[in-house]
Amino acid sequence: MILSIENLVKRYGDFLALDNVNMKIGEGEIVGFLGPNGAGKTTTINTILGLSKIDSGEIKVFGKNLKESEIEIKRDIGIVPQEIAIYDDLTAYENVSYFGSLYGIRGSLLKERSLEALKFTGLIDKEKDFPKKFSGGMKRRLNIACAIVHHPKLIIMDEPTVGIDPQSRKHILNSVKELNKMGSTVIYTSHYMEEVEEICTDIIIMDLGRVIAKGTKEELKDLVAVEERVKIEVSSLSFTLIEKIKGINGVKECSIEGNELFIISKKGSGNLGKIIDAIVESGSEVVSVNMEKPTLESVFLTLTGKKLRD
Amino acid sequence: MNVLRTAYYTIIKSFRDTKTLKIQMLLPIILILILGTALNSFFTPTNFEKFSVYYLNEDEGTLSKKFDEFLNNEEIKSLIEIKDIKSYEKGKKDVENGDIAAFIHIPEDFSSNIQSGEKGCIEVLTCEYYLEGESVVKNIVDGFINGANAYDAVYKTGGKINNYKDYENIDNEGISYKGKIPRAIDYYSVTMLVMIMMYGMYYGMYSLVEDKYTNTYTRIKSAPIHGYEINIGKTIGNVLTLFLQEILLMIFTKYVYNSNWSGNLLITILILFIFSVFAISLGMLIYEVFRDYNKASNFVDLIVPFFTFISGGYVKVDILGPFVEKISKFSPNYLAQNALFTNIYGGKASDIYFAIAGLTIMSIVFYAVTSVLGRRSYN
Ligand SMILES: Nc1ncnc2c1ncn2[C@@H]1O[C@H](COP(=O)(O)OP(=O)(O)O)[C@@H](O)[C@H]1O
Ligand SMILES: [Mg+2]
Repeated sequence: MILSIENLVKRYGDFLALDNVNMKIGEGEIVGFLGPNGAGKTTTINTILGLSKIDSGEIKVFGKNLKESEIEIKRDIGIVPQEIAIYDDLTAYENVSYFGSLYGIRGSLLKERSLEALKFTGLIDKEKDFPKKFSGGMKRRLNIACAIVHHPKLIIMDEPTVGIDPQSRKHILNSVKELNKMGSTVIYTSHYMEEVEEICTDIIIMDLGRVIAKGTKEELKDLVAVEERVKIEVSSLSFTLIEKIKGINGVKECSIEGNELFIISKKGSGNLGKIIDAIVESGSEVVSVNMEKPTLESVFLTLTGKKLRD
Repeated sequence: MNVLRTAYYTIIKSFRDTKTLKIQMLLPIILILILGTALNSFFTPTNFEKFSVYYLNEDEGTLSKKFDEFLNNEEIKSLIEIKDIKSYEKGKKDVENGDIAAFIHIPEDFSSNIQSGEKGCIEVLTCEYYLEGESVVKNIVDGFINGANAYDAVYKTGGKINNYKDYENIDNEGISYKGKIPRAIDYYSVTMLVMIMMYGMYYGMYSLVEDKYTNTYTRIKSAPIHGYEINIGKTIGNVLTLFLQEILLMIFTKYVYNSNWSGNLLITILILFIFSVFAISLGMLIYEVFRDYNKASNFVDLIVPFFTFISGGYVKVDILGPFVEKISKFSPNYLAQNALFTNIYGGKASDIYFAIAGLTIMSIVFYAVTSVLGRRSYN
């Protein structure tokens, strides 16, 4: 277990920022950490890094207690803060090298690793430039480069793609996958559903300081899907066919629009084969079949009653 | 290692921050030039010609011959006009009447007294109406006493002719003036440099908020290091930044403006260094007291001109009157300026030690209080 959080409570004065948070993250995962603004994602990350005091609960990173082995634990974590955290008066290379040096890397290895991090984030030809002149996307990439010089076992990215161009976004998403392949476990915080859907194996959803759902993508979708929707385009339609379909086990509703059939079935009825058989038997042909799957967006909407982004 | 690396990058960042650098380097260069030329007349008074001094040497010995030569020195000639006089009575009377600024009298037994191991005596009578005259003449005589190693020479001086003091023993430490007075450009090269070092407080203040402003706070705090390594590194970097700036300014004013930076160079450097340490510590303390960068900046913008003013940074204190002269002693600028002037123009060496010790002790206290206040602020 790379990270385990148990019964974590964090208050800011009277405000309950983290309300009994529990989570476990295994080695080699890319965990999507989802939640609307103010959910408590950054606060959770801060407690993992020992940046803010906790009121109660236990945090273990790499199997070690955070309080007891803080420095040791920090050595193997790379953090990409939510706000771009670089010095404008240092060049890209100097930024990466300085932050890398804080992780105990020295001399020629530091140079090698700094250049590697810049290459990895596509900034190698900007190594001598000042971030002042960088685009938002380039700054975001430098923000990542500064976090990976020391080859951390656990990389925590707090909304690393906010406000950037599609190209940089793509670059970043690819590098997350790449870093994961190279052996790092990644916690990827975002409120962009598509990103999480694209790169993450596991997902934790937070709202109002609580973890409201966690699991693999499929598990989460199953959690909210109470029915299955399918749209079938056919060559011809008849009333008998509709009646026949309505009689199939699990089908709750069947309606038509033009040459299209809309069928709603109970979750897990596995009746699509029978439906298609019925269509073929009626002498019609199936032109196309469209399964409407729940998206993470709809998962989120169902769980929290609000959209992830406004 | 983290300390050194942080110090190194702190210096690099400061010298790349051109906005602050312009204030720290360009502003004093301009101010020194403007004040140094515009206010020059205050330093070399136009009534300089009138500033004559009677001189009567009744001694036949060799020692007083040396004093004759000394008075013929170009530098002294530029300060006073020596008028030989025959009668002691007339000299005394003219000083009394305010007809002449001062009267230097060497009695006939001067050399013989000293040679036989008794006390020699150069008598200086000054008129109370010529304030500046008194100090200049005194300085000249002191300069001679020092230069000639006439340890036993005794001189008399007095604010009033009928009430003059008779110094039985010469406190050698107390008399080391070289008989020079700073020109305006020399004066402002020192005071503006000290003023700009006080503005160096900004570096100290900023070091405490920088990582919050640039969001690098999270990065620093999540690195496997101790927070104090960064703080110490930044402090060292800031002290060295400020110190380097002042050394550069000193070199610039010395070679471009021909400002007088004579005296013991090591002591000058030491004073500049200690004052850099002091200014950074004071800046950090002020931030920790206010806990608000803007409020702290406003405060600094208020106290730097204030301290500069009361310590005679803009206009010499003796022009500002006795009240300012009294309170000026409580200004850090005064401590540094006085130590620098003493080193350059001579004076009591103890003033230098006092300034160095005082600034060092204050710095230590400021750092201690800052770190206590700072520790309280986290979480
Ligand atoms: N230092 C703080 N003091 C008081 N409240 C805070 C502080 N930091 C965060 N909060 C509050 O805690 C909640 C969670 O914030 P955060 O963890 O930043 O959310 P997220 O990262 O999910 O957007 C928010 O309501 C925020 O206003
Ligand atoms: Mg956040």
